[in-house]
Amino acid sequence: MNRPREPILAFMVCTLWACGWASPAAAATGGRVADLNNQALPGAMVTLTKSPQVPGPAALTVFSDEHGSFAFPPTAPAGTLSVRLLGYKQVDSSLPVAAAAHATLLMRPAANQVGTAPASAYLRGIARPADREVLIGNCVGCHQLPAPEVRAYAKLLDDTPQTQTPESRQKSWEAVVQQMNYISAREFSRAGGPAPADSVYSGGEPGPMAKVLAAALRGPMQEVRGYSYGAPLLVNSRTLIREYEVPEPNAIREAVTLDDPNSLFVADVSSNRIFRIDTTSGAIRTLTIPGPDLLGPHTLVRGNDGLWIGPFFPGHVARLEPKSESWKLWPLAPANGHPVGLHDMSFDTHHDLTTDRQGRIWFSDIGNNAIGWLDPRTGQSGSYPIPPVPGRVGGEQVYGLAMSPDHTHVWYAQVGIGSFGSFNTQTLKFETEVSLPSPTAGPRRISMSDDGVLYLALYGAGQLAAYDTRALKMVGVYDLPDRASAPYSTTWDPQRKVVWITTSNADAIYRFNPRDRSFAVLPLPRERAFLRSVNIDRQTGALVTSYANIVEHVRGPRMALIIDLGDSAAPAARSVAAASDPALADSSR
Amino acid sequence: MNHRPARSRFVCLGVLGLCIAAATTSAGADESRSRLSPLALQKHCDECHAVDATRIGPPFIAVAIRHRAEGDAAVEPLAQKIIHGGAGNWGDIPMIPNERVTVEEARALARWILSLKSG
Repeated sequence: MNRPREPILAFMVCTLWACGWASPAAAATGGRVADLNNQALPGAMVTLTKSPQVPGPAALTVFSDEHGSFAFPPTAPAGTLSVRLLGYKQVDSSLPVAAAAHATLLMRPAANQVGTAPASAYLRGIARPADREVLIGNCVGCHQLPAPEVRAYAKLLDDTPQTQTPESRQKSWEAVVQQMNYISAREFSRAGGPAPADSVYSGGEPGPMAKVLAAALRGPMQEVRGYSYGAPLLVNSRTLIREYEVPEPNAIREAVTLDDPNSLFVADVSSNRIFRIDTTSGAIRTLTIPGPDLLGPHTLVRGNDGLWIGPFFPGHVARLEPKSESWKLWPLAPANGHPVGLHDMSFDTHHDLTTDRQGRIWFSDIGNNAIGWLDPRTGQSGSYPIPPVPGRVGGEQVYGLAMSPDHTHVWYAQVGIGSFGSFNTQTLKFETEVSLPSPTAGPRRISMSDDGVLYLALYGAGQLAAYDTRALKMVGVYDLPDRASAPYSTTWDPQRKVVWITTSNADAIYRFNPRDRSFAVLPLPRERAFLRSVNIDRQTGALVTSYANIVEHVRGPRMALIIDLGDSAAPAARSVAAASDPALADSSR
Repeated sequence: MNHRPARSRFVCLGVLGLCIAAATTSAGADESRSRLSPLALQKHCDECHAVDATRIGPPFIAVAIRHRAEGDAAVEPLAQKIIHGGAGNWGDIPMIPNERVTVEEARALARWILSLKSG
């Protein structure tokens, strides 16, 4: 795959060179990463943070090759260079560079990997898998664990005479859980919802969570050693990560491109805003969902007729037509008087919104633990409650949803109870139910391959499950390279024939190759790279995702990302015309 | 944006996905917050403290009563406690460190706390 096409800026650079303002040899910022013995360091993430007021992405990241060399695109502006490499520290914490400069970045080994190892590295020592699953399920839904502040508190407990007993440590963590519950309640009421005083966001009393925290977060939380990614890196010297910021305050949730790879759409769940970013200039347009109701854009699904938006607050689904930037909203009929909380919509093997054979969009209704439908042509909607799973009653939360390749079934995940199943959209009956061994394993977001294999991200278990929906049998459950990585979603890549797995706790994206059942790692340049879903750009094959730290206090980044993998498998374009969904086409009229 | 007032129920799509909370519990929290100084709100002191009620930490009025006799001498120790946290004065649960509060902000918060009067 080639570099992203940026013809205008490329033209400008050529023009500057012709005027004698730049030399051909200095057309791109680049350089070399080495240790203090001048040995090349491959695989280092070199980030160019642009100067303020300069157009373009907030930051560009490339990777050093086997010679330690790195190069940014010719369009890269002046800025500051920084490096992230597991087990090394940059000698200069950052290095200002002019555009088209050549820089030598020196690193020294650092056995203590604080600052380069992800939060998941601190959870390796948890003895009981069930404890890890509970911690991830309850805490990592909103922020990485243990974040630096949490580790600082753990050290405070170590250093405080009064908190040397298990009981006092548990009470201290209980206070933290109460604080987090309060924070989350405020966060989710910030945009106009209610502000419950002491609600328990984790869905249970603080005590049990505090007990697990007290046991898990012990020892030298100020250092971490010996962490490795656990699988080969999939990057090369052509890999380019572009990161985009939007105006604060915001609560970025998901990001996606439609037919134009230069137009990036980003949801702000704390408002009624969608940001439209010009990926070349970085210019941002704010698009406001009309109407009196607060939706809180959460889930973004690429449709053949525009951008479909699942809201945080229940009751609606919205669609943006990108050319005219016009909106259409559909109210969703309450289920037995309860508002519908749409979470995921039925997408196909290309991660595009699709319908069943009757033209209905299907969705997971997290508010009622039901499978819902909407006919966008008529506006009619309805839902079917998911039957209880024997032995796993309580805590059910339907989450991910995907359509079968023949458009006859939707598959859904129930994250709260470790279950997934299918619903026949023709007979309107629930059919298959599969319970994972652990009720706290996950799964969250799911996707479907061309050949009908359902891939499930087992959030708590740190595994990938592959289930053959045609043969109705499990193909395999695979340990991810990092079991504490909190895999949030899977996305089938129909061009590369691989699965992309985003993580919430490991600052990385994993790639699973079903042919040899191997994993590879795409590390991300930023700490607290808290990911949600990932999409694949139709034209370029780039990965599109976001850092979606959502609680106001969480100090991690809130950015949208476009990742050009630099691989040779340039996906064939799949335009609106290539896919056909008559119902969706009709609904846009 | 003018949005319609909050519904009686809302759905949080966060941790595991769902959290339905009643709207009626918000009044007490908002009233408590309204008594905090703008700086105390800005620095999120309300997450653990109220003016005259025990939450996770002691009520601010209790801190004021205990330390008022010390006069200005109480400002600096309180400011350091705000920044660095720690246990010992009000039980065994350590207060979390607040590294983003500057010394000047912490002193201003301490002075505000010490200025609080009962009732």
